[in-house]
Amino acid sequence: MVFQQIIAGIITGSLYAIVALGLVIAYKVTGVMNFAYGYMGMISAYIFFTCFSMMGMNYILSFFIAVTFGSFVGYAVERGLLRPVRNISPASMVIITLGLLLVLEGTALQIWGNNYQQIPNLLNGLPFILRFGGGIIVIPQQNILILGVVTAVIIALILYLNLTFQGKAMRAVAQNEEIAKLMGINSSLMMSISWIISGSIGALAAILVAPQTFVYPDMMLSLQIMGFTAAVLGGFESIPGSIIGGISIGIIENLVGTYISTNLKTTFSLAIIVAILIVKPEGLLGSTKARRV
Amino acid sequence: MKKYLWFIPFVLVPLPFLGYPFLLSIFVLIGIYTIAAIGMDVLTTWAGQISIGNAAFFAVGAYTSAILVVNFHVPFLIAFLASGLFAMIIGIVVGLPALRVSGFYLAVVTMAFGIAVQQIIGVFQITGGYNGIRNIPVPSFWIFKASPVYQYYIVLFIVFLIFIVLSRISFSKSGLALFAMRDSEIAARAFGVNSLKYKLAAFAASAALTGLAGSLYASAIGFISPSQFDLTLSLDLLAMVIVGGTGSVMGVMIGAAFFVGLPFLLSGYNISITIIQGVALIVILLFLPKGLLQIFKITDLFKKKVI
Repeated sequence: MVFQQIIAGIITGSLYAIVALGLVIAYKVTGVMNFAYGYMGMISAYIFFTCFSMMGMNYILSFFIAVTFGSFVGYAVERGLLRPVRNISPASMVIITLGLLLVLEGTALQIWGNNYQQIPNLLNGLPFILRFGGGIIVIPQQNILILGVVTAVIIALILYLNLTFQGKAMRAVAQNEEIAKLMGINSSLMMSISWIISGSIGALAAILVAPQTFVYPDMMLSLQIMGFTAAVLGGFESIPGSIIGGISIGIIENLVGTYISTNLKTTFSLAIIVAILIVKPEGLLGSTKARRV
Repeated sequence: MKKYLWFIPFVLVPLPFLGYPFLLSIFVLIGIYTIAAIGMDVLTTWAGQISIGNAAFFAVGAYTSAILVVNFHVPFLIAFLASGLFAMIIGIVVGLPALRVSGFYLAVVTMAFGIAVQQIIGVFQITGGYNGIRNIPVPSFWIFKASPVYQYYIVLFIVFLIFIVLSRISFSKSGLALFAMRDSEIAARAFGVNSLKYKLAAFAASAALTGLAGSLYASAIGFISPSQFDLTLSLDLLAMVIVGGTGSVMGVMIGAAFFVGLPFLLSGYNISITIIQGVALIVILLFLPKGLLQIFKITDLFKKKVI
């Protein structure tokens, strides 16, 4: 029973983790905290729905169209809207991305309406059943798919950032933009690429979660809140931090929901997270920086 | 706001005599949101603390007032003050973690608080669960009958009172200490400012103002339920401050008018309000970074160029 909940928590948490990852990559390179992130993914989920359910395309083809669209949205938003206002105050940044969120939500409402649209699972076979000792664990195939895709994305991202020249250049821009520019790195291109990655990760998360939540304008709200919380819990600047943050939030949420209270699941989980932040204000893997007086 | 004080006796006070009860009820709402947004302004602009959970204080105020009036038949004035006091106590409790975290970490802590309060209200019996509380009476007092006109003057009077008190505080020693702490906490502490005390005071004041606004809201709308106090309301309160113009009661009032009035202005057209609202937020922040109040200060711009 406990193991079942922990496995379920890891699967929910892995979705939180990639949302956190997408937020953190965009934040590290461009310094923009994107509160419309989930809603950018939501538009891609609608694109997937249009391609797959309305136009009858292949699952894989619609998937690629939607993720490409997501990366395009990321590029357009960064280039067209957020580049000029990178250095405004955090409160103003919340509000400008809130404006973007409202525009995306309104657009979805205008085009696709307020109905809950369904997307089928890719894998519909019998769930895997593991038996050991006295316990039994049931894992639906779709959840295996989610876990597999998320792991693949995380590994690909870590390899890209650590092994390729472009990844190293991106980390250089994240560390110090001025010096990276002086070393001949095209920092503008790096910023665009970071948002392209971030946008496609958001689209991926939305499509993976869509069979459970259905597709509607607010479908990504809770995933976005929890992804943001996971990023903060992990220290906001660290990629392993956001993965650990996401998965631990997923596990905490599932255990609290089962053993303490279903109605107050979010309340108790958030209380635990706030308690962690009070003890360790810079997040689990964050580092304290010396500040100029 | 001193420059605009003529606005009060010539426009706001005679407004009820024009005889548009519907317009009056919109103005009551604008006033209520102004009070709540001033609470947000005190926290963000005066103390430099970000909060995206102020809807929780609004909810605490609204529910305290509604429960006292409906279940215990307490006079409105006492319920009103009690809601401010109770919200203030909660504000101090929430302010405690804020002493350790800042920036986006504080945003998460306050957001968590907002979501938690909404969920807790939905679970308990006394708050009516997810159905909320209905039939909250409009206050009547002494010779004043319960009417929109009376309600309008109450709200106007309270906004004016808050304006007087805040402008007193901002020129006082405490106000200056608060601004010093916002600009550089370490430097302020080196000058002997007790930053712990001032941060808590900012949270307490913000919560109390928002709680009072919540109490007025409950009596003005007459029906409250947890879904009215969601994350959107917190973000709207922050947006009112940023869109209107930070650090001024007049700016906050413009922001509140913008947010409350826009849906009514656009209700006749077949355009989704969220798109207009979103575009407006983006355009205002891109072209008027200091808020809508900047439009009214265009003359100041010319003055500076002469010098």
